[in-house]
Amino acid sequence: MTEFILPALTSLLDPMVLLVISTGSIVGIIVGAMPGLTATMAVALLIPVTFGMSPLLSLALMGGVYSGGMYGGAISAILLSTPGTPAAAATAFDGYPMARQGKGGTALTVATWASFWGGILSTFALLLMAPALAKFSLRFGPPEYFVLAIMGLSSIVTLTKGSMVKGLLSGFLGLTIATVGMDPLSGFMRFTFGQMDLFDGVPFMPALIGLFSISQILDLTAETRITENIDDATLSSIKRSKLPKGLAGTICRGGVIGTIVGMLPGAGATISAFISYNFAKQSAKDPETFGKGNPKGVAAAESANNGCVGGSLIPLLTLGIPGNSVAAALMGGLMIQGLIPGPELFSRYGTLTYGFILSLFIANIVFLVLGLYLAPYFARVTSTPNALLIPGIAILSVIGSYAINNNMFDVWLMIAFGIAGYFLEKGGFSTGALVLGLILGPIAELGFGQSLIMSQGSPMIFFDRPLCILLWVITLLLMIPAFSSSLKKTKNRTE
Amino acid sequence: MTRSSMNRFFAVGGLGLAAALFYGANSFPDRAADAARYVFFLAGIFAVLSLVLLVQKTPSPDSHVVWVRSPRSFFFAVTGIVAYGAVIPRLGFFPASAIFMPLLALLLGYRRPLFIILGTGIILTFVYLVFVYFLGVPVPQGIWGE
Repeated sequence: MTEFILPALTSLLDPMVLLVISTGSIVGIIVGAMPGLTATMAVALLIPVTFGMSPLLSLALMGGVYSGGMYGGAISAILLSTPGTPAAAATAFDGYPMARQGKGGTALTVATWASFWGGILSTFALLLMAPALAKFSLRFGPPEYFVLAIMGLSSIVTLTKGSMVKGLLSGFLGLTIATVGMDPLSGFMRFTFGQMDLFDGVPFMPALIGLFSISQILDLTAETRITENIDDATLSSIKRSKLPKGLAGTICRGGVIGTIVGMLPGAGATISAFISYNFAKQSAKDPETFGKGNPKGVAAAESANNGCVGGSLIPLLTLGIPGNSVAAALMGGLMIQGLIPGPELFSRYGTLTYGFILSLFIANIVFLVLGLYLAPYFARVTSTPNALLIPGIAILSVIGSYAINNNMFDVWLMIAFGIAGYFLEKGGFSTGALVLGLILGPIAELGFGQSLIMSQGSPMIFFDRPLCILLWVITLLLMIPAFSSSLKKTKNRTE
Repeated sequence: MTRSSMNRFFAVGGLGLAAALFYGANSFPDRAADAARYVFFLAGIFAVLSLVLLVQKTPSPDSHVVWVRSPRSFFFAVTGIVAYGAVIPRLGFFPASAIFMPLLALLLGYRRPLFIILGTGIILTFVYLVFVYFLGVPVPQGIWGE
């Protein structure tokens, strides 16, 4: 490896490479911040553009878009409660309450630093341990995926602020909605009512935009500004964006979780962000402040979703198995350049591959600088009058939902989810838990079905594999504090 | 509506959904037996949780639920968004948006025309540049595209 690092570093000193990485990061941030536009879409659209470029320039451009896109999702999640990417959904839980309290600049700063360190940690893992980690990721079979999904679902307990029953009902409602469409094992169409647009299931992004964005703007109709009920001094402090202390542990843990979950094909940044958020809340001394504007919630979610960037590239570069849809699009970019993922990338094309990996460090630095510089200006959005903000967000939500499949059905679905989400929130249900069920439903169902086929119907397959046992133990450990505090509350109430 | 009656309302809705799921999964063909089993499992959990919600005591005092804090603005926002969605395929995305944004801003009580025009212009220019110009999203053209 060492023989490739120096030439790789030298190749990155070319001003053109630096320009391409910066451009990629900026495009990524814009795409990531826009609801409905994903990093996958941007990377896929870039492939024809990169055709005439040198391999290093093309990979550096796509890597920049990937890193920037993962970070950009946090901006709209924090300021408008509209996650630009599904992976930023968990960021909104504490980021938006911070923005409401006039701490939007601080929340963005936390998200920027957390994304940066998450990205750096995972890129180091990619640089130093890629082959070993790739072997580990192959040990995950359907039973492990099922238990991993259960581990993610245990976050429902964490996300629930009021009634635990309502939180669980919300999560199971999400799982139920996720059953709409083709059964992954038999191909049977379930609950589609002959509607062709539902054959592939309920599209996730319009549901997410509706539940987070439309329901939120309906709630904002009763107020004049996002940052209402705060004094002038706090309002003027929106521009200040000092990084709170005590986030290092949360960020490191998030980066590690992101890297590990990211390298599991099909798991992805969204699950890692929820799992990291869950870990952060359960290990905090003040778990009751989560969901109300705790910076640790933002740091946990953002470090994990950016940690997935390096993680998802580990199985891609070493085994040719993309960790997620963006990595799959990136694989297309690699193959167009005549590069076949596998051991050859690290030997014959070592300089190029290590150049690409090192370019990810630069992409992280670019979005760090941009994010920190622009955070106070972005934060000013929260002081815009709601009467202007509401129609503006509605337009972005409509075009964001439409752009995924170029289909008006998705727009109607988004509006329906938005109105339903508003009334569910008012009724004390958790839209966060609903979204989690919607994301994890297909993974859990597929893992469950495939595992039972493997074991010829015996559920013991979920309990007799070492990795499954480890995941069950972690899941139980994560749930104990939440249930014990819930029991304490009930006990106090009856007394 | 009080909190306890709201909980009962949602619990009954949950039980109804569980029954519908159970009924729906019963009609799955034999080849989708695994899929049916999963839906039965979800229906069962849904029914149990809804029953718990139904019998659960609401902490006293039983307060009233405030569904909408500002009914007038809420009505304008919901009606506006639904009407906007309905008009897009006919008028096209950009003309519909150019009408929707100023109109809703005015209905929500904003009275600074310059900022309304400026805001609408900025949003639509941004959407055009990112979605149409760079990403080539074929936004609905309505009557102008025929």
